[in-house]
Amino acid sequence: MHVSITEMERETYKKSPIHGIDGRIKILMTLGITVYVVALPRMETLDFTKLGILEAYLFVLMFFSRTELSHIIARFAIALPFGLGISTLQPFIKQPFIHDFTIISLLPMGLEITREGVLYGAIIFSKFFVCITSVILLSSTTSMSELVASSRRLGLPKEMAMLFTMMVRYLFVFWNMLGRIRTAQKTRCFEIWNRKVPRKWTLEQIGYTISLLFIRSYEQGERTYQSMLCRGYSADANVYVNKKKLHITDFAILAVTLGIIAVVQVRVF
Amino acid sequence: MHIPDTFIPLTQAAIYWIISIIFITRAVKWARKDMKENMIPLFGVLAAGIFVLQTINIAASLIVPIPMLTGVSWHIVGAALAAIIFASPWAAVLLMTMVLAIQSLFGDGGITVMGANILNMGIIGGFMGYYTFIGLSKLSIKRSSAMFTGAFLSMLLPGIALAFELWLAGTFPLKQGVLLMATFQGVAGIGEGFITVIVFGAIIKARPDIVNEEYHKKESAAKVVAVGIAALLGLAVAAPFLASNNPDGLEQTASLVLKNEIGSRITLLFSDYAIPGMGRAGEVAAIIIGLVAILFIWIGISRIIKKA
Repeated sequence: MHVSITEMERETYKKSPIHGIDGRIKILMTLGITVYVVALPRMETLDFTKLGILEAYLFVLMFFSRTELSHIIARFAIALPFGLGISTLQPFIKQPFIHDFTIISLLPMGLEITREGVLYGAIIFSKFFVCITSVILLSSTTSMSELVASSRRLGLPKEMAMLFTMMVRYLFVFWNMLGRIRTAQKTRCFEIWNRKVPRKWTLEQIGYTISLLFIRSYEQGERTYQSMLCRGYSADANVYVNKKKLHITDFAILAVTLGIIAVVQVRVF
Repeated sequence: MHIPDTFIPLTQAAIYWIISIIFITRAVKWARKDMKENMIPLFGVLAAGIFVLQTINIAASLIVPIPMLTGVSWHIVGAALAAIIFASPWAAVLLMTMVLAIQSLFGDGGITVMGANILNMGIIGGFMGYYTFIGLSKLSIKRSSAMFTGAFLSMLLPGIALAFELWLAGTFPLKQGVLLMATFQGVAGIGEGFITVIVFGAIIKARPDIVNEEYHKKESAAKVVAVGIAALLGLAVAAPFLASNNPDGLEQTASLVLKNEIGSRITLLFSDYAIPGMGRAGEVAAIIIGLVAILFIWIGISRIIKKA
């Protein structure tokens, strides 16, 4: 599974009710859901109900966002392995915050599977899944430049806004550059996994590719800086962000999200 | 090596965020003032380049060809490289912060735990990588060896720090975590070391003006010592939790051979590297006292040598 940065950005330029929501609202929704999920108790069976409701809500939003299913699956496939790996090991671990363990299976080499470990592994993975879903929804429906502008409107310091603006602007330039370098290498039959050539030589080629990209990005940075100076850039310069009014639909979706979190928390269901 | 959301509780994640924000603020100030020119736009563009070069996955078996590493890959982090090129660990903090922020949109590292990820890869990686390089260079060790060691530690130490963070969070046992992370990050560190040396060599040939080599020589030894002491203090705090309770080879042999005669006739100040009655805190304190004592002895000896 592979999702390139350009494919990811392409999804954000679709038209849908979710794409149309203001970036600030989407950032606040993602932060709200993530912080709430992380703050949930570590060991509580009821968490599954809460997490299930939140996940269902996010999937409904994802459905209305008209994001390609293959894109969503690919994004999950990239994001899940590390979290899945740690969650899978939980049944074999004695978590320090749990005092009584019920052993449900004894394995060779002194390994034990505990009921509490299985439960904790399942809870931590479910929480992680909800967090990843909210991030995927955000990044599939909001372009990177919109994210930076929205963050600036939410109070991101101007230095950081400048850094991110420049970074986002050139991310795709370098991504395409790396694509061209790789194509050129392929035409010369360079294959990173080829074991018929000495390892040292392969490492050197990788090193030269990285050097090339580093120098090119540095030189692009210099040129950009020079052209900015020509246009009157100074240390006190600010990134211009146009004022954008929030619509009633923006407030409505934020209210619905916060309402769902509140309802889930007070266990109306 | 990116910690995802939910693997660290919110309170601990907040502490890592606070530490990181302090360092990020200082890094922005460094880019504004210490570099003499306003380098903010340049760093923004460079961060984009570093983000892209981090997508070049390299087979771990290319570095160490053992079956355990089949299918495992790693990518260059570049914290030590950035710090060495710009002659400041703040460059690594700044670049890693931006790269990690964008990576979190891909689900590579969480939002609430981004502070911990910045602490590991940007702060620990950048500072340890850079000052190891400077320290070894001051000891007249060959530049490539010093750079390799710095880059190696910039991968290994963040991995160990991550194992500690997950242990503090109650998500993963310490000894197994340290063992796993040290193995994988150690292999990745070897690769990072080689690549850093190659890339630095290529950059110095193509654009020697980019590299602030003069700053490397001017860097004060006091900073190297301060970072070294910080690293040793970190190890002092970690050591009691990692140490095995089993006797060492000599003790085991002695207990088998001299069954009833074992026992010291001297009253030891910190027997078994611990202060009696203080538990783990006593073990940590004993190691810190030992380290401070060694430091004073070392300063004393070096002064005597200087006078002589």
